[in-house]
Amino acid sequence: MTRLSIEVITMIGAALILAVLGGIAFHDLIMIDTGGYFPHNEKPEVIRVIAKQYVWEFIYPNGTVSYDKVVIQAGKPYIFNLTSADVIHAMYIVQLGYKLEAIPGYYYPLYIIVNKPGVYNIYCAEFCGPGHYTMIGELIVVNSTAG
Amino acid sequence: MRIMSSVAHKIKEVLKIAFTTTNASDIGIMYITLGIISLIIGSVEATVMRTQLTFNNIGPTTYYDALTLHGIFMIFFVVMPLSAGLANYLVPRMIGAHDLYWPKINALSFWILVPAVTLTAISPLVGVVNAGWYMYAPLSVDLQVNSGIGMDVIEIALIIAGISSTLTGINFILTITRLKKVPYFKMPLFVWAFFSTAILLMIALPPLTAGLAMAFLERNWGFQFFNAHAGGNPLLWQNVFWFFGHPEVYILMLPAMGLIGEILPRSVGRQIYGYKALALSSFAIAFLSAMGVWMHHMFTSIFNFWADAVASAITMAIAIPSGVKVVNWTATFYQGKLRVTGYSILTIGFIALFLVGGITGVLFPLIPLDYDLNGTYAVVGHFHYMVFAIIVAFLAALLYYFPYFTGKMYDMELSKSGAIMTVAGAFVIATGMFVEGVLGMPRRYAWVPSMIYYPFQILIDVGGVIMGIGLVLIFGNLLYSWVKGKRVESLDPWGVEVIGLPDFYIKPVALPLTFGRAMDGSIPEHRHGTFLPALLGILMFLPGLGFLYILRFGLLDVGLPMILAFLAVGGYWVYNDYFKELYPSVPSIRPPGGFEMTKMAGSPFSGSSNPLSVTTEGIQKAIQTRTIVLYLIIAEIFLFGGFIGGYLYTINWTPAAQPYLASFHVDWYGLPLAMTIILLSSSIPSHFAYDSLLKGKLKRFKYLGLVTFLMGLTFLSGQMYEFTHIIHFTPQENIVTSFFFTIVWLHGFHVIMGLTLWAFTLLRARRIIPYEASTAASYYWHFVDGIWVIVFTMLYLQLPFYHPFTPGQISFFGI
Amino acid sequence: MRKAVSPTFTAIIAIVVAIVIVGAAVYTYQQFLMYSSKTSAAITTTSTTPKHTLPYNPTNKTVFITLVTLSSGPTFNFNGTDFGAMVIYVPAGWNLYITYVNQQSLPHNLNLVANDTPTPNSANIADDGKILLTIGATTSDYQSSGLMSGQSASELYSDIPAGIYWLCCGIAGHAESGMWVVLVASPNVTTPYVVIS
Repeated sequence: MTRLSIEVITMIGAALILAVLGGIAFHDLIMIDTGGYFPHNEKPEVIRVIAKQYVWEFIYPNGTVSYDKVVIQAGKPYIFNLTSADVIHAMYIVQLGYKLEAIPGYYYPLYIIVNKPGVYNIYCAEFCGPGHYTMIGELIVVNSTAG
Repeated sequence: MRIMSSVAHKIKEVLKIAFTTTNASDIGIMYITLGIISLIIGSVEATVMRTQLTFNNIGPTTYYDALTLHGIFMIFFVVMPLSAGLANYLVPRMIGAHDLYWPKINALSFWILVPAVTLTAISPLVGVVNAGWYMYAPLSVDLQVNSGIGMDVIEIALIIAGISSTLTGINFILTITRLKKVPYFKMPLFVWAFFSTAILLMIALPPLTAGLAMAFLERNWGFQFFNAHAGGNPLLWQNVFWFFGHPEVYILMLPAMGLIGEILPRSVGRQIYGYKALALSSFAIAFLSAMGVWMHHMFTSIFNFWADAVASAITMAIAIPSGVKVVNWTATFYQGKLRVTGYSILTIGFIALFLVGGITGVLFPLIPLDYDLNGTYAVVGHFHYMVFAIIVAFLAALLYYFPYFTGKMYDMELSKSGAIMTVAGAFVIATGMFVEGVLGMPRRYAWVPSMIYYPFQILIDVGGVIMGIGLVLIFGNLLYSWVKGKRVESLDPWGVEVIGLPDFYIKPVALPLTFGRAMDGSIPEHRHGTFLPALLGILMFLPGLGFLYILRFGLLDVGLPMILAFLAVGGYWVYNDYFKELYPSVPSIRPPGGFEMTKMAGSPFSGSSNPLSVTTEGIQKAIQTRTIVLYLIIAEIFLFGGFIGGYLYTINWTPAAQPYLASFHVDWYGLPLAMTIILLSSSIPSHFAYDSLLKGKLKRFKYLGLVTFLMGLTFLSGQMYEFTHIIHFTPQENIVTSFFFTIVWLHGFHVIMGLTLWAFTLLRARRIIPYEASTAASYYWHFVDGIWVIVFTMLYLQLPFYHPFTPGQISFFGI
Repeated sequence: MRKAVSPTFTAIIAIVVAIVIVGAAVYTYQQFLMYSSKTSAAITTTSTTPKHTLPYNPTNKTVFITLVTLSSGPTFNFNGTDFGAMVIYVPAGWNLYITYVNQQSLPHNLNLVANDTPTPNSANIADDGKILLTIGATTSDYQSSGLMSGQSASELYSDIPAGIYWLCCGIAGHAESGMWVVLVASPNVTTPYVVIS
């Protein structure tokens, strides 16, 4: 083994591992950010989310406004249309391992479909002021009613 | 009585050296002292944070103040000064230079940090600084939450610290390339590491200045950069900041890696494995870090596949040269015999912390994982592995070079215990943070959102206590040994010279290599120094504070004198260095013995002894100055780049800005066009003036130089008329007008600097042939003109090729 | 000039540090498991499903009741509910194994009270009925001291007679501020359950 080959082996080995991991990651990224996991025949319901200092405002398609709690049905596709009314926040749904930032002037879609009913925690994950750590919400997933 | 007065005498002596020295070794010691003081302040902030997180008894606003200052102190005022300090102390000795290329600028760079640290330390007392170390807008510019002038004072502090760093970067590039006595591939690894760091310092700090200036203007003068209601874009801050921020973390890490490259081989008694790869990988890392990587801090804030792809791929690529380094360090242990010392334990600790931290880091460019881990303690854990690795490397350097610095030895077992505790504590803290984050604990929370995270906070406390005790052991040991330690007998305290691994090119002739000694440890016959860099450096806060008073409080009669006072001191320094010698009858600040002190910038060579005709050495000096001016211009390009890049980002990718762009209109024909023609044609007399000087036609040079100056002055006057009589919109209206005013006035400020350079050159030309000044003036003038071409076509003519993209709805694959 | 420190010192430091770290890690893991089980119990009882069966052991007729005072939501809460919104139904005559956890830094305790007023309206809960059991404090200091910051305690109450009771906090004023749930022991109940309205 010449001296050069240990460094070359490291570089090639690292590059290969990273390429494989990167490939899987990019595929999953596209699926997440384009709703690739959604069933093809159903139209997703759009729930608007406005992050504010220091509360989550959810607006259902029928106009109902709910603070800090949002209720969705298990197994059905939703798009959370996320923005902010003041500074940058981030909506982090802990048990789903998913977050995007809420930025004033931008509307970002979170493609959500949850199969298991339960209560999921929503934490704000971008520093937004002294009340940042109190901005805790709940995503409540109930058993789907109609088919 | 006698002892007291001898102590008092010693203190006076130390202070005199401190305020007047321009010697790199002394300045290095001062940087390290500043870094250690800041480490204490940063640790106090950390203690406030830990107390709140454990007992919930301090309150969120104070907690978040402490959080912001903890980050800013540790990054800007601990690691950067410690690495600049070690570089100042070690690099000249390692390459055979007797000082840096610009000793006075080196002193200035240090003294600028004194007001920077002071301003940051008092910031929570004059306002609320709940912003975090990366100060995201619009929170940082929100005057409701971040009221007072705390944030503004921090912005001023970081702007001047950035100037200090950029000057240091250029200074070291010149020192290493021009003053080294060893060939490139025999340079020590620390020199390679700091060389690449210096390049990053030159290019990465100016964009930070751009962003901070935008935030300052928004806070204090109502500009609209980040306000979505006026077309502004919070992501503008993120892009500009992280363009600095990512190279910044490599500025922090590269010198530490370089130190390991010095201490590790000497701890195992053999040459380092893979020297060339280690040297070149530092450059690879620096190069990659400045290209597209910065967006990996923004995966959850941007929604664009192409930006994601580029940032993710290049970030993963950086892992490769880093991996090569770890492999080579590890291979060095093979066929070596490890001497277990405090610093070798710390070295192994560095490699372990860097390796684990690097592995945790690889998770983040895998973007679906980043969607989970970003904004949680997983990030905090990752970077604490890295910064603890850096601190551990610096501690290893302090332990290793201590005998050189003090001529004394410390207790080896105590240093080993301190090292073990420091590394162990660091691991516990960072691991506790990382695991907690993977479980979902968000960062920047004053209290846990669920008690399942609380046990990890306690674990971090335990690690903190262990690390704290370790640090106290190390520093206590060093301080005690400095005073009462056993004197080192040989000039080779670790016995590395005899095994063919000498530490320095400039071998010490006597120890200690302490404050006030020459590079080789001898006591200098004449101590030549000047207080002017210290004075100007300490007063560096005046312009920023002056603008703050004028813009925020309308106190022109307070702010204007501040700015003028600063300019007066700067002007006096220029006069003292460059004009006093032209008029020898005037008494000057000169040491006896006819010693020619270096000037502010530039060599002692002051024009020709024959002012009537050019000499070959003069022409050589002029040619050598070109590269120097080029480095300064590169830094300026990155400064303009921050603003121009920000403007291009706004017009191409900010949906909220589009209506304001469509309605923006400024007349370009008429006065602006006439002034443009005058400015751009002034490059012609500028070019021929310089050409004439090199050919020896001095009268023509002065005449053409004066023409250039007058044309530039006309341009400025035209602009002032335009802005007072013709332009009817204000900068505070929307983001486009904010950018218009900012970029045009930034350029105008550089025209003033160009005119100052010409005035300086022409005034010097009355007595001598200004080889270097004329090079600087004419090259800089071309740069000023070049920038105007871009500014005029982009902002006045609104040429379409600056705006090829149409920001519509956010689509993941859109461009 | 002091004597050099001996190598034993370093060895001892290394061993002590290792022991401390391993102990802290084990403690952290154990505490984490404890909090996880509490939180998941709390989550299921705050869900909006109206009726939820409680864990029980039919062999020895014991119902396992876990009440957690959360640090989010209303201050004076059990499992996020207040003012008797939670009603626990148990078969009459069964044993109650009650565990109480307080996640807040404010101290609270838990008392089983045979009440004689419909809702608490005294600062001292003993004025509103008879205290049958005190968890997290003693019969003499329940008005001022309790558990806090994650502490928990458990007690067994045997053979609860048929009737309606409160499970409420004994700290002065807390029950009348809403910190109470209703417990119904009835012969008509076969499996224990809880309803939140």
